[in-house]
Amino acid sequence: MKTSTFEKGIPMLPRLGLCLAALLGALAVAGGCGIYSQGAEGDRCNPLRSSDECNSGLHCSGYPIGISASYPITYCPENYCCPATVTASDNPYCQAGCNGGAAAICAADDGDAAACAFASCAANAADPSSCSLDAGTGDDAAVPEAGGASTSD
Amino acid sequence: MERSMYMRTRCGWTLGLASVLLVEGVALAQPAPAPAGSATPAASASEAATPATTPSSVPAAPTAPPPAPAAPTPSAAPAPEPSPFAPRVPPADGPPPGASAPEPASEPFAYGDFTWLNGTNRQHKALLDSPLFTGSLLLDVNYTQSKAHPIDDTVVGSTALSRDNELTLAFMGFGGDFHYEHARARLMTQFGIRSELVPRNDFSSFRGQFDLQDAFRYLSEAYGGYHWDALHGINLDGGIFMSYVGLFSYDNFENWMYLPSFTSDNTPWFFNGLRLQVFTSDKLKIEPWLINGWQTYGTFNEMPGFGYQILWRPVEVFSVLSNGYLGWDNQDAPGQFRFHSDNSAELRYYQDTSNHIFTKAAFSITGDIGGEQGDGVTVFGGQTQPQSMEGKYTCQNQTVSPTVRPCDANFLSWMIYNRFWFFDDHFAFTMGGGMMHNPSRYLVLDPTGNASPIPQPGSIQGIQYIAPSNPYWTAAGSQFDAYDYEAGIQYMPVEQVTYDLEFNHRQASVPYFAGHGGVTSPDGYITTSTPTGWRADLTKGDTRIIAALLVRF
Repeated sequence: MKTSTFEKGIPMLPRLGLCLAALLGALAVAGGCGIYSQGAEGDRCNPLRSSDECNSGLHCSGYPIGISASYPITYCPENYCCPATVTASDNPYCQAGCNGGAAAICAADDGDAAACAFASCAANAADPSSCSLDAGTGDDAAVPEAGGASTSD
Repeated sequence: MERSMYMRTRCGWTLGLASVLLVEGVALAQPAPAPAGSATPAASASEAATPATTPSSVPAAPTAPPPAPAAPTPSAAPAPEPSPFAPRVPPADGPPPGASAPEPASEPFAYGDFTWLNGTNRQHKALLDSPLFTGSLLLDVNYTQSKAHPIDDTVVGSTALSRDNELTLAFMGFGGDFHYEHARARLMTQFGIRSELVPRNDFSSFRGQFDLQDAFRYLSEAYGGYHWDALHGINLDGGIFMSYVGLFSYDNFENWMYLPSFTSDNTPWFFNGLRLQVFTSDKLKIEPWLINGWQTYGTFNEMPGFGYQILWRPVEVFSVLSNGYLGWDNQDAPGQFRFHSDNSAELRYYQDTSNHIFTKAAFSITGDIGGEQGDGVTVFGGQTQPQSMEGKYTCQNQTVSPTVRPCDANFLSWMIYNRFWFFDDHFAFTMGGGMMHNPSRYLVLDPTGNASPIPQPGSIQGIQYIAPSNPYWTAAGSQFDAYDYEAGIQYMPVEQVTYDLEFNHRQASVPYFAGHGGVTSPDGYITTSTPTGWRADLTKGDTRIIAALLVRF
């Protein structure tokens, strides 16, 4: 025979209800109110979603598939939330080569001379935007193929 | 050279087995087992302190003591049910009148109520108990909400969490303890996501054939052995058994928090081999191991792994646990050994069972130190490099230049937790955290998908394996530092059920956790082609809210 004031104070069913309510409330706060905030400039995005998940004024850009087909970024193998015009952004992920993307393409496919040349230029230039894009376009990198490696640290 | 290696290999296993036989020989010199139906006290003793084999006790925690008698302490805990291995009334043909019967050895850790300990079952009786079999059922369902909200619903860097924004059956296992006279065995199956999450970290299974991961992934514990009535009990078991390196239990039902800190999450959950449990008193257990390796199904190189556990509980309010390991756990590096020392202390510094609002308070502290030595790495004093230096430095035993010399490989970590119990132990609030330092990343849990350093299934059926597009860098000399902090509440309406809700933040010195872009493909599905050069999205921090429902019979 237990003598818990807690048990005396709150019968079983209401207690269970309280517990479930607390759990659901927490989940609602976590999921519904959004503990996460994505869609800012330079954030990764899903180009194949039915709707653009980027914040107002931004588009899912980069590797030209899905939504991003209208907002390609040269030598970029991923997709990021960026302004429609890359020159309107200072975010490195919204620039040609998307902050190491060209190097990743080159590492994965050293036969892509244009991406390798751009990556080499971007790595050494004081202003990567000054590197020429003439040697290729983002579409050159759009070969759906796995392999290679890139740095991440 | 080959002959030398061969001899060393044979010596490793031979010495290990000889040690076991030596102890066994001493045990065999003890009095013969009691007749059927009258299990001796010593039997219960050893069983009791054995993880999860305790019939009477709560099946479960390898370090878990048997249910504590309520009497010795002011605890409100109900008295444990009698154990089938507990001392029984002497038979009618017992000692003649006037002769003094031998005093039965006291049952290890049965003098107090240790259900407050982190990593120990809080139940006071096993519901599915019988003279020959004590059944057990474990269920663990969780929901994780990561702030990064990865598009592939995959979180990285834990053996407890796997998916984001989904209800996940993390673990479902059934089985139990078999016990008859002095024979003993335990089987606990393992279904759910942890049957993938944990075996994937064992690279020894890539050596040779017959797919060790698939063969064993659905068994979390599977061992059998023999019990001797020597000292306060001696057990010799062989098979897959739980590890308590890092204090927390593999069964989340027994833990103060659902997601353990790095010190526990990144250290072994199981071992495969032999263990000898020696209960020298009712307060001390000494347990040497002869195992295949550091949480491995198979063996790297030629030598087995050696280890031990020492569990000392001098009084009910204090417990000390120490684990040690020595092994050779890296592919193609027979000259590189690993050592590890894991040490925990737990103290219950407050208990007032007359106070039904605030009933108990306790804390745990754990510190680990380990390292690897040989074949190009050293424990301390070597070099570490950022990934930008990849290919521009060399790890070797002899120092030639600042970038051609041994590389650091060590593991330094700690974690501390504090827990308050309220409302007759129906609620508990826990907070804690820790840090880890692991150059060469040999204990870092590798990211998965296209960030995995090893090939991953290239199709839904997993019948093709492809190289990841962006393998995580785990080379010798790589750098890794991380910390975490967390707080959570647990609601425990009955002894068999726990509701858990907690907040956790982890931070690393290098990109490691899954970012919003995930680690799989542009839209998160493995069926979507990955562009050439596509990089997995790894970030330096992750914030999570975790909810879990844990049930245990």
